Amino acid sequence: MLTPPIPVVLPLLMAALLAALHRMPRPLAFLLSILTTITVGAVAIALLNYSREEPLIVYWFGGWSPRQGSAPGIGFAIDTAGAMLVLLTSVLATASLIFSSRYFDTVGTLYHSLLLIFVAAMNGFALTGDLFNLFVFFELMSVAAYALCGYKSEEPGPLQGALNFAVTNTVGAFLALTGIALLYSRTGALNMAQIGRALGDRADTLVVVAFALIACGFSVKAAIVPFHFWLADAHAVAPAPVCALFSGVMVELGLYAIVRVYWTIFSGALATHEAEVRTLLATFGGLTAVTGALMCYAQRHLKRLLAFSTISHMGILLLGVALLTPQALAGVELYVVGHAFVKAAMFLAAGILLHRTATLDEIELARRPRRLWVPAALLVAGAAGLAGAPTFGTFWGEMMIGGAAHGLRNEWIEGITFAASAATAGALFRFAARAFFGWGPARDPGSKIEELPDTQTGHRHTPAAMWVPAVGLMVAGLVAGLAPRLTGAALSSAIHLEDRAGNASRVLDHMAPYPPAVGDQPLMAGDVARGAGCLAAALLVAWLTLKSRAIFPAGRLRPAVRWLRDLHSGIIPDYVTWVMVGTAAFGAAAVLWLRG
Amino acid sequence: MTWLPYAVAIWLFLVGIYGVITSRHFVHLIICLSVVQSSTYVLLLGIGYRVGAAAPVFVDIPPGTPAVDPVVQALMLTDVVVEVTVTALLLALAVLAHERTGKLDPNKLGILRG
Amino acid sequence: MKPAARLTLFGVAAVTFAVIVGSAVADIRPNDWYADFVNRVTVPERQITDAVTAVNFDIRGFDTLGEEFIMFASVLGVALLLRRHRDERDGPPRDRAQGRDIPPPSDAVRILTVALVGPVVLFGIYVVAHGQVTPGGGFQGGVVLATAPLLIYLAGEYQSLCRLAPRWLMESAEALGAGGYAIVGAIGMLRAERFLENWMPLGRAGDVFSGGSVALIDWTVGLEVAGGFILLLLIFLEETLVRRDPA
Repeated sequence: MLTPPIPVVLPLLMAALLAALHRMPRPLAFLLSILTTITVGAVAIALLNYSREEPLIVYWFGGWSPRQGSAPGIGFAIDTAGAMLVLLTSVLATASLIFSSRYFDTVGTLYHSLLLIFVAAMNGFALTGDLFNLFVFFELMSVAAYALCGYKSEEPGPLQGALNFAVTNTVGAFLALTGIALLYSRTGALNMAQIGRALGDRADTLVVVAFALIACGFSVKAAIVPFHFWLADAHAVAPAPVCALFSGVMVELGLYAIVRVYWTIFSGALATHEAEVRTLLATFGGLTAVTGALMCYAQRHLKRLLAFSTISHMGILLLGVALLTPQALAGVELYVVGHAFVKAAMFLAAGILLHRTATLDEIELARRPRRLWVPAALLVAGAAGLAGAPTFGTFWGEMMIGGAAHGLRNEWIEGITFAASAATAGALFRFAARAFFGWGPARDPGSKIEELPDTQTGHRHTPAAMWVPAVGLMVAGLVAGLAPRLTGAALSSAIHLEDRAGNASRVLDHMAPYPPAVGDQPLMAGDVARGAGCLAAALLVAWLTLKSRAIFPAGRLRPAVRWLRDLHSGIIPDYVTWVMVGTAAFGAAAVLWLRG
Repeated sequence: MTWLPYAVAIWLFLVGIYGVITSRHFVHLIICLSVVQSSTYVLLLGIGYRVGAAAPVFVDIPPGTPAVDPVVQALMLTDVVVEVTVTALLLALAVLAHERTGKLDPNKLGILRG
Repeated sequence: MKPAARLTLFGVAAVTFAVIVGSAVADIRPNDWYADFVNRVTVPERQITDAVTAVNFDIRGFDTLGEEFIMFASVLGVALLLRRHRDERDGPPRDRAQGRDIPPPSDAVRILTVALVGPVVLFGIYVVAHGQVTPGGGFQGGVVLATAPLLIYLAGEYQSLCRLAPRWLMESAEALGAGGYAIVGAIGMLRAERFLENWMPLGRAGDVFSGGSVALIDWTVGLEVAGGFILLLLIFLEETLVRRDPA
């Protein structure tokens, strides 16, 4: 079987080649990079096809297959979710590369090499079945991201953003590594399936602490409150095509790691405390969704606004993950896909806006509104997508998460999801209305973030290389939701992911359990009503804000929002303090409630 | 005394983070991150140590002699080299930040806020 | 946050953290399975006497490929960040600190460093080549090799360094090393085996040419690490000595 290493090895090889031949003409560099990402996408589709018959494709590097149920080598454990993430990465990366092919200020071939390394790392992260390999790809992904974030190093902003990003994520990586070391000491293994088997069905202090450390470490990447402070800073300053990848895939991979690690390693040991795990994760998720939505509303810089909406939606995703049922996990998968397309398209739209007007500030744009149809349409459609309007992936995702929440009588989760989606979508509607149509002039005492364009020349029209990928992504997001038997496919994928014992025997004992057939979740009128209702709520919220003069109205909430905004100080010591506070809180809760 | 490496690891981690939190100079902050990284090394090596065992090199001892854990050593040694380059990346960011803003105090950069 | 508030929050979090992790480590009893497996298997199955290298480049070789590329990406990142920006120019090398008189290197330093360059390079090559036999390997040897140009810089001037270890050479070496590792792995795939399968003849334990493709990987990694470190040195020196701010 030749294909499993390709999503990782091909981009790495091409990155090395491009770095060696760094004087190659720019179109050639772009051509090679785009061909690479397209090839990886094709391989992902092949893997997806294959995974319909074989729920888990196992590939051992160096030929070190398992012996007597123990795995000495590094293995890829490719299931539908992983292959889907690789496909998503390839599509987004191709779009970003096409977007930046015309005017982006590339520095030799450094941009292409770093982007390809970034893509390779994300692919490896999604496909691997080995815990330390997961960590290595996590580090690789992060390092490429730090460099890409500080890309526009002529300005001071990107440097601060990149530093905040780098220091906070490095601390997160150390936390995760500590947890991994603890697991290694207990089980003597680094293969996830083997660790899961060795942990048995009881969790003592060490196991619980390892879970807390690994979850907190990956939560930094996943921008869960209070580990989230770096994300807005990083997104505000990174170039638009890079932000598309950050918000579209990278942040979601942090959550994917938590899901993987929980289901493959800890679900047996923590099985008796499922309710407590649910509460713990849901608390963090709810907190994230609400904080993200509030902060999102108070922003005037488009990329920072989109960044906080990502944080809010990560909260929604964590709420879905917290439910711990296959239906909820299937909803999360669909939501991730829908959100990725929509968010990436919106970041590319921000890039187009920056290219044409050299500013992304809502107030400044409101003073001289420009009728730029492509970014306007993309932002409005994207807002609808974030609100969970029908046929976006987010709609199906919310439907399934809501169904799962109902089943567990956790309706408050639905409530928070609804409110957060409406708020973030409303903020985007408000931005579009002010920036493109000049409705409701406003003033805001908050700080303005200066930003120089990513592009060199040609600010008078939007080149096809820019609007085609952006529109294409948005259309893909809409159309993907029309795929037949979407919920059924997601449901079977989720069931396989959660099948700890079955996966372990596939990985370690070369045995193939028969995959059960799963039906679709039927679409109910209530779901469509909810989707439409959320959209309506978002429009209402936007309209109410436009009528008032301030960016963030609601006088009684203002001191709270002011306090929240002050917390996001841009100061690294503050951020790291919050990471420690969050870890201590999660760890204490875990030790108190998840043992035994 | 087998608890000593673990105590040192926890201490290094917390002291390093303390350094990051109270730092007023970016270079100091980045070096404190290296201190935090060393805590993970000490933890890994402490886990891998076997009392009375030899180094896992079988050139002058017969294969099969009890030896310490080579896996954690392998994990650690690549991390050490990699950490240097990542530190270099962070230092490059700090150098540039100083060039662009004239400041090196993490508390004072203040461009991204709210 | 006010520093006092920060410190209090951290204090509480730190104590909690120490208690939690301390109690987790309290009855730690390391599991020997992986260690025993590797120690038992490296010589009979791969003819490698240095178990650490066996883990790094054979049993967990894919991890090391990732780590190597972390290095590669960091160096690329530094090159990207410290590039010559549109408003900067390059000038003849001089120390940025104004009004500081740099004394020329003393004769003792010159003699010592030049005398050491040869042995250091030889030692570096030895460490890289013997990775599968004795403690060493690509990473360690590469670092030793990277100190040789540093010695030249200490002995002579910056320009001697640039002539002897030019940037284009180091960039090519680094890319060749990084790509080379991936290609060695890919050759395994082309022979209808798995990626990074050991496809070269294994030799005899204790020989320099044992371990199969591990011997080759030692060289690619050594090349990459040495190239990467020297490149970092060159980039930082260029930024400090050559780059001029806009007037």
